[in-house]
Amino acid sequence: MYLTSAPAGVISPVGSGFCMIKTNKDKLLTLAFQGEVSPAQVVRTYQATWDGRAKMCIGVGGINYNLKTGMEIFGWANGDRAEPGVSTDGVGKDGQKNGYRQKTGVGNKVQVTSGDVKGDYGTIIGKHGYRLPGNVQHVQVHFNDKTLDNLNIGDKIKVKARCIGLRITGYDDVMIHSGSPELVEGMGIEDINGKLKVPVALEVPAKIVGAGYGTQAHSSHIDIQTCYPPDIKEYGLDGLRFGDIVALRDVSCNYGRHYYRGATTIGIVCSGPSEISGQGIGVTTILSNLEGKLQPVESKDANLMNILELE
Amino acid sequence: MLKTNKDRLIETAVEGVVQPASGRGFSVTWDGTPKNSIGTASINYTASVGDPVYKWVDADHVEPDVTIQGRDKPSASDCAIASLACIGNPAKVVSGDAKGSKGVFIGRHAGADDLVWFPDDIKEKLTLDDRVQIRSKGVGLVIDDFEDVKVNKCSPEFLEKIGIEVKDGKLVVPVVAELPGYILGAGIGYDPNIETVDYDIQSTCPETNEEFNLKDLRLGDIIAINNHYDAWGRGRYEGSVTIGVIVHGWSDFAGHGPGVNPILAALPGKVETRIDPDSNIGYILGIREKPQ
Repeated sequence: MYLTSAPAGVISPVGSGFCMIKTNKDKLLTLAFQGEVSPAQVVRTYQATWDGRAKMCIGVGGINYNLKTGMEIFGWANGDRAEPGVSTDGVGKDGQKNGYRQKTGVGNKVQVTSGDVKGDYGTIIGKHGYRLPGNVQHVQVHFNDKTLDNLNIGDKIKVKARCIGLRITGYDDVMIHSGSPELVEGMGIEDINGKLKVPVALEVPAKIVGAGYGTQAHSSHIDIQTCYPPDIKEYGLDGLRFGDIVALRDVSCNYGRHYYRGATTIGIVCSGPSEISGQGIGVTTILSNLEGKLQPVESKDANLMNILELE
Repeated sequence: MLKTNKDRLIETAVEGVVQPASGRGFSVTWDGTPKNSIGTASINYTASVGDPVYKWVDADHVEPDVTIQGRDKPSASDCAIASLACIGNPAKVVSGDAKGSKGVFIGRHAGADDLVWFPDDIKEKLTLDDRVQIRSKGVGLVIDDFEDVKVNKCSPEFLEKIGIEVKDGKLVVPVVAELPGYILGAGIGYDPNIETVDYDIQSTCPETNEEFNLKDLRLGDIIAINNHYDAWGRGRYEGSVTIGVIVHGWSDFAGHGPGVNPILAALPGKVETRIDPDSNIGYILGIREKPQ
């Protein structure tokens, strides 16, 4: 658990230049968005892996009972971009679906509004989208085990969304997408001499980042490629867990996702690895800056489980 | 001369219709600037194969010559032309004032979509609902003794004219430029199909634009992408080489840039490159004269 209880703006110790971050959270609008629990997504004709094998890929969409935030991402049988927790999507017209995908934030609370667990609460833990299977986008939600066991595909969900416009005071050039105040203030970010020190489980170079370039930054995700198997050990990907905070070096997500030398993006591991060419470990992107204001600091505790105090 | 299985390829008619341009108003570029872009779809009277990818005013993803789209399925990417048409295949107008006129298939830009070159006088006669038929041939093309090198979207005639040589058990391919895989962006990992999808050399990092002289690239250039193996999708593999053809122009939208159709992909040790500034499909297919 990070020092979220320290009063914002406290300077300590003398001369270190250290202080916890402040945000404009009191000025954010809070709006309701409606979604529903999505069905599991599969392709009956198999998908082709990077080396031309046929694979029945599972783990995307639906209610995943045994993939949870904090668990290891590798080793799940037939898993391919497998998502922890419950996958949801918006309801209504395309514009309304996009509102659900874009304007909700990781850390926002959701409430089930129909079915056997009506009234139960959960927490948004990521956003994930892909072309195959299903050409869909998901907002991922964590529920406790009791709620999970009684939740049904199609159950309605209401999100009290509060994230659009969030800024860290003094850092207007650090873009925040899909990040609630609870997440951003809970990440243990320190403001030291004009830089933001961000605890992360792993730093990843842009050379292994793939699918997701060219997409908009406030929905879906970007992938750390796992189609070149030696990368998995070389870059420490095998130790990653669902919900880990990671830094992507030389990647910007300011106005869309792209390579930009010197930029840093901070995100959350939202899916497991992939054997599809160019795809891999999903990262929901949260913070982005072009010029070195975000400085990753390695921390084994940099996981949503700790930050959002998930049950 | 390369030996191939060209005599065993199935030749099939596929059709597309000239695709009108659309408009979405302003979109936001990588640095937050609004841009009302032009250049995709329609009949492009200005930009043709061999012209620069960069220089056109307010252009984004500029497509050379004439853009057509299959109509036999609800989505253009699911249509026969998307998977079967290959660079160098002959095209023929089958309706309207230009009926009977001949052109050449020059690549596919997923999104707007299939690209055909016609002479300037034929462009003048075309309208935005003319039908174009392609004699598609090339799917399944394999180079003898290089069965593990994936050939994609190449007619046999085009493949044979590229100037590929066999040396010490490797294919040596003439290319205009070698680029590192890490600057490839939009379209990477999109799906495992290489026939229907292009992917973009990102032109939204000013430093790498200069380092790799991306503004000097031309529509139709053949380039090498190092450390990518685009045989079953588009993605990273250290030591691999993918050869591609540039099918559309520059972009200011994050993660986008000149688009590439992969045409050859090999695991390490099978393909080498040599730099040749004239390695452009316009010259190779005889539809553009080399500058003197």
